[in-house]
Amino acid sequence: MIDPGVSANLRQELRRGSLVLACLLALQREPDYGYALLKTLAAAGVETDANTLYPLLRRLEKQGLLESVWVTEEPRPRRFYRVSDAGAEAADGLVNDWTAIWTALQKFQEGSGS
Amino acid sequence: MTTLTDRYVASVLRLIPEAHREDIQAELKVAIEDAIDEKVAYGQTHDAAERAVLNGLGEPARLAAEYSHRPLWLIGPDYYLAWLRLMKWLLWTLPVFVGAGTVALRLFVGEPALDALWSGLVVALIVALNVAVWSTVGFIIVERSPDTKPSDLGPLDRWSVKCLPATAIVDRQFSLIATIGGVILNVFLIALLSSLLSLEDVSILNTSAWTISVSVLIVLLAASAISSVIRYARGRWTPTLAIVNAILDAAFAGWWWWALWNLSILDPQLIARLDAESGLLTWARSVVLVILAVCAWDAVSGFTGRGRAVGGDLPAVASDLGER
Repeated sequence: MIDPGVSANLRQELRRGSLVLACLLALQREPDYGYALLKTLAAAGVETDANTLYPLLRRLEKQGLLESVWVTEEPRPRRFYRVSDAGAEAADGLVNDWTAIWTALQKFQEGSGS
Repeated sequence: MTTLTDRYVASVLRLIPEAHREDIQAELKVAIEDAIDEKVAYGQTHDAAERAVLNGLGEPARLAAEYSHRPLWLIGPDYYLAWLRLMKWLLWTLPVFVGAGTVALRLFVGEPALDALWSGLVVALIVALNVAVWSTVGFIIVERSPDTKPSDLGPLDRWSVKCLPATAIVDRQFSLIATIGGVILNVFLIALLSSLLSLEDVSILNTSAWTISVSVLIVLLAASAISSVIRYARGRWTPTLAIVNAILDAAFAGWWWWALWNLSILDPQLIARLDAESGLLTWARSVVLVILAVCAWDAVSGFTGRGRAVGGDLPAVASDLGER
C-alpha cells in the first residue's frame, strides 16, 4: 500500500515536468489568455494552479517561446498568448523526447512480463 | 472603495520591479475577476467568491517571487555546498590565526598570560562572527544575481576525488568539540600554572619542590593536548596511541599521588601544624584515590570497549563501501 503523501508527491513531480509542454501544445492549437488556458488544461486533465500558470506564461514569453498581444475588443482587456516559432520548435523537440521516454518505458514494461 | 482584490494585486506589485508592474497588474486583475465571475455564476456571493479566489492564489510574496524569478530561499542547493565549504575553511583559519596573533602580540607587549588568552579568545569569536555573517551575505547576493552560475565560483564549486579525506573512517571515535575543548582547557591550565610559577612567595606551598613539580605538570598537560590532537587526526585508537595515553595517565596519577598523598605540595611546616587535628590528609588521600581511579579507567579505555576500532583496520561499513 503506497503512502498517499508519497503518491501525491510522485504525481506532482511528473506533472510539473510536463506542464510547459502542455501549455505549448494547447496554445499552439489555439492562442488563449491565462484564465481560459487554466480552464482548458483542467478540462483536459492537466491540473495546475493559477499561481503556477500565470508566472510560467510570463517566463515562457521572456524566454521567447510565447508571444503575447492585448486584445481590447471584449469588455475586459485580455492578454492573449500564442506560440512563437522558437516555441513551436521547442515543443517539437519536447514531444520527441516525450515519445522516446514513453517508448523506453513501454519496453521496460514488456520486459517485466506483466 | 478599495476591494480585497485591489489590496491583493497591490501587495503583489509592491514586490515586482517597476518595469513589469503595469503589465502584470492588468493581467492579474482580469484573471482574478474572471475567476470570481465564474464562481458567482455557480451561485456563490461575490464576497465569498473573491475570498476563495484570492486564498487560492496564495501569499502575494510567493506569487511575486514566481513572477520575478526570485528564489524563496537564502542559499539554494546550487550554492549551499560551496557556501558550507568556504564557511568551514574560513572559520578554521581566520579566527585561529587572528586569535593566536592577538595572544602573541599581547604577550609580546608584556600583558599577563591570562589577559592575553582572554583577549585572543574574544578577538577570535568576533572574527568568526564576522566571517560567518559576511560570507553568508555574499552568497545570498550571488544567489540573487541572475548572471552568475555555480561554476563562476571556481575552485569553491569544484569537487573531485582529490577532495576525499585520507581515511575511510565512518564514525570518528573522538569528537571535534571534545578535542578542541580539551586543548583549550589544557592551554588555559598551562597559562594559569605559568603565571603561578612566576610568583615569588607562596607561603602555604612547598617552595623547594614547587618550580620543578609545576614544570612537570605543564609538560604533562602539553603532552596530553598534543596527543589528543594526534588522536583526533587519526580518528581512532591505535595500539601506539593507547600506550601513549596509558603512560600519560600513569604520569598524571603519579604526579597527584606525589602532590597529595603526603601533601608534599604544601609547605612542610604548615602540614606539621595542621596534621594533628584536621582531617586534611584523609581528604587529600580520598581525592588521590578518585584521581587514580579516573586515570586507570581512561588508560584502559584506550585498549578496550568503544575505544577499539571496529573489525581490524577499517570499520565494517567502510570496507563494505569499498567493495562495491
